[in-house]
Amino acid sequence: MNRTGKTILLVEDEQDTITFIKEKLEEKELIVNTALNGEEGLEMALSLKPDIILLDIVMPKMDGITMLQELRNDPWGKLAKVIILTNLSDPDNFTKARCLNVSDYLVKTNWKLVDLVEVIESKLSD
Amino acid sequence: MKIRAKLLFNVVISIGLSSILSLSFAAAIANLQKETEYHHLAMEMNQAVFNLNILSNDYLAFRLDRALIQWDEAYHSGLSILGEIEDTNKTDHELVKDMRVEYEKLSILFNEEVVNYEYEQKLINEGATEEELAVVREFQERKISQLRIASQAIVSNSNKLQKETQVRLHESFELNKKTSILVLSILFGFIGVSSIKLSNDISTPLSKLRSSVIKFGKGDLSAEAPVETRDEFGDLAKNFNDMTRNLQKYENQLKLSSETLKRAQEIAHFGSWHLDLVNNHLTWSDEIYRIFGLTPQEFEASYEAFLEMVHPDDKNYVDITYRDAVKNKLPYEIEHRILRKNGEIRIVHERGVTKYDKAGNALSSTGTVLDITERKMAENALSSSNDALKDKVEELAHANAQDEAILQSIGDAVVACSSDGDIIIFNKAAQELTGYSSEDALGQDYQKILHFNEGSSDTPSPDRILETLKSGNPALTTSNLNLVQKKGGKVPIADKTSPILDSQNKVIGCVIVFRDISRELEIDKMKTEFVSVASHQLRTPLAILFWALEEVLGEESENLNTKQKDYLSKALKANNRMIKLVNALLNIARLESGSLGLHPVPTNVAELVQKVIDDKKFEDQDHKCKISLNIPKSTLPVIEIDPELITEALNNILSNSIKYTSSDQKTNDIAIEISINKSVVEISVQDSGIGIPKENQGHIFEKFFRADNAMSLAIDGTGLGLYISKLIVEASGGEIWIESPPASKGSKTGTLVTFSLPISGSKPRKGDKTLA
Repeated sequence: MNRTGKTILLVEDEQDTITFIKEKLEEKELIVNTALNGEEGLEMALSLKPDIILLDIVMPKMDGITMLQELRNDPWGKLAKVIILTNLSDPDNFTKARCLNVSDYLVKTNWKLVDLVEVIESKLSD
Repeated sequence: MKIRAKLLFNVVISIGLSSILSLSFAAAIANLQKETEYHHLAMEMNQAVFNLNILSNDYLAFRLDRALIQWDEAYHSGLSILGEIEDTNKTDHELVKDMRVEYEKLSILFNEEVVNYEYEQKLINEGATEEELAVVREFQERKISQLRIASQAIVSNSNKLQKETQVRLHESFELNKKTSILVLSILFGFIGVSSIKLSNDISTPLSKLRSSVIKFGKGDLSAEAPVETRDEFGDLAKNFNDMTRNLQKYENQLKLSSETLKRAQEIAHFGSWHLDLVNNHLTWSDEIYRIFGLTPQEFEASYEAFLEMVHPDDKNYVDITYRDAVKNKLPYEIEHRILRKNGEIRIVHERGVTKYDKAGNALSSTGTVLDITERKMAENALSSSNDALKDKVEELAHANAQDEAILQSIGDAVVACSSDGDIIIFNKAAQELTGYSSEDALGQDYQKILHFNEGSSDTPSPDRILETLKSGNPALTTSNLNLVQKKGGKVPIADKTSPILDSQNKVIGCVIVFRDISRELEIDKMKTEFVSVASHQLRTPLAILFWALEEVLGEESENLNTKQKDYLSKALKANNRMIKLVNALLNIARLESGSLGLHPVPTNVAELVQKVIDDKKFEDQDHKCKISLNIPKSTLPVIEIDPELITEALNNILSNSIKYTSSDQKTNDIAIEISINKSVVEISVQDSGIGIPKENQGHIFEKFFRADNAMSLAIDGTGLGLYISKLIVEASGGEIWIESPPASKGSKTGTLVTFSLPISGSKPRKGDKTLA
């Protein structure tokens, strides 16, 4: 599978989390861009048009769900691949995300890094 | 045969016989006339022949031409008589025939004589000799003699005819006489016999009837007339007998009612009296004697005797009351005492009415006496118990007011309605919550006052009050119910609807208790938010720790010494426990708040259980347990359950079994069994582990509870697994219980956890599908 050059946008406010995920993904020769909040994330997404967006929910300035709503208003963003990667598992957010057509909804603590990377790779090649 | 018919028969027979008699008389008379006519004609014929003789003699003697003409006339007249005889009398046919022969011969002879005479004259004129004349004359003489003979023959025949008719006349008369006598005697005989029979028919039953009537008149009502004929007397006797029987019946009834009256009087202590004021003669019924403490009809009653019986203090009053009533021509009513011979005092109620003649003189009084002693006593007792009752009622009213006050001051709205649905209780909280006053609501149909919607929608919720009134069972409390207030506002409420049952368990109404849960909902929401945020905040560092430790223990592990590796492994394990704890807490928060969805789908239980076992084996390869699954031979039904939740519940149970069995190296069998018990499928997990101490068993399904022996063995555990299982099973409509040691399976160690699921399936519940 040729993954080289595939771009990923990681929207996440927690620096340590960024470090782990970015490192793991780059090991797989993926290009990882990061944004620290929703506002930044939306801007970068629309300019970079990454192959997949990994999106946290709880973030300063603009939360993940709002950013996703904005994104879906954009002609490109409408079809962009988004995986929610969060620590929230409440029904509300889960339902909202589902309705905004996300590729997956992952709760961080339930996933080993290895498995997480595997899911991302599989979604990329979908 | 009826008498009337008999009489009619007699008359008909008599008329018949008389008619026969009359006919025979008529025939006789007709015969007589006929014979008389024959006789008469014969006489006329004689006369005619006589005339002819005279006329022929005339002519012969005097030779008169007149005589010749007359003879001719007489001859024709005789001829017509003869014709008449021939026409009428056919009886003497031969005689009449002879007469005609002779009569016609008479004419021939006479004509020959006339010719002869003329010849003689001619001879004389011609001067004939005497000898010649003598011959002629001799011839003449012969002719005349022949003429005479013929005449005599006719007369003789005629005479014969007369004689014959006379004889026949006589015979006919005789016959007629005999016939008449015979017919008359038959007639008289018949009339005589039938009259005797008839009089017999009439007099015998009449005398029988008479004697019965005499008996009956003397009062013998059993007298029956023994007449069984089919005639009018039979009918009369039957009617008479019917009458006597009816009278007898009435008499019996009368006897019975008179007996009944006596008995009734006796029972009711009710006597009657009649006072003949003209003869001062008083009659008492038996009961009056008894009321007065006397033997019935012991002595002849009188007004004075009565007054003797009256209590001395009442005597005057009674006497005056009665006399006034008689004087004023009014009925009277009085209550007074009587004093019995033995000193006993009774109270009686008397009524009386008097009859008067046209002149206004009192004739008789009639009245009743009722012994009311017991009633009076009861009345007195009643009036004292009435007072007690009044006190009781007051007490009750007080208690009622207290109940009412309590009901009114209850914080929850309380509404009760009758089985017809009319509101009978509507407390203050209900008034405040609904906005309707008690005047608005009481007596109204609850459907006009109480409106509930499903959640915040405008869809009315199912009518649970009606359901309760119909079924007699409490209605299930639906979560998410809104009350629509009078002004249209909506308030979230929690309610409980229960039937009001009478002692026979018949539904006589329904009580609905509900309260405003807006505040509770708010708190609940805050709690959910808090759990959500808290779990997020907890998970963030946990995730970093998890990944970091994983990294170190994975790729970087060759740089670690054994001790470091061991420590870090412990840290990872602890971190994992923390993650599980957070997940469990989140699940509990959702299960408890009811926001966890339950989505039943047709599920093959055996397959589900097998999958849990397989996953477990894969997930936790360290354990040395032998897990067996026992499925009943009969087909397991596919039931509607939420597979995800049931998997979670079973997983928790199985995890415990593995955990507490693995620690004991000697026994390590885990037996899972699926069975059907009536309307449920039971899934049991039996381990051979450390078991649960008896004193802990009551708490095993409590949150954060861990058995003492489990704690002492330092086995990891959150104390939430069985609690979650219990929440899930109960939400699915089943039950969960433990047995330790599982005595029913013949085991001395280990634990048996069993949970049931209804074959009818779980009820779906809206909400989030996922577990954390």
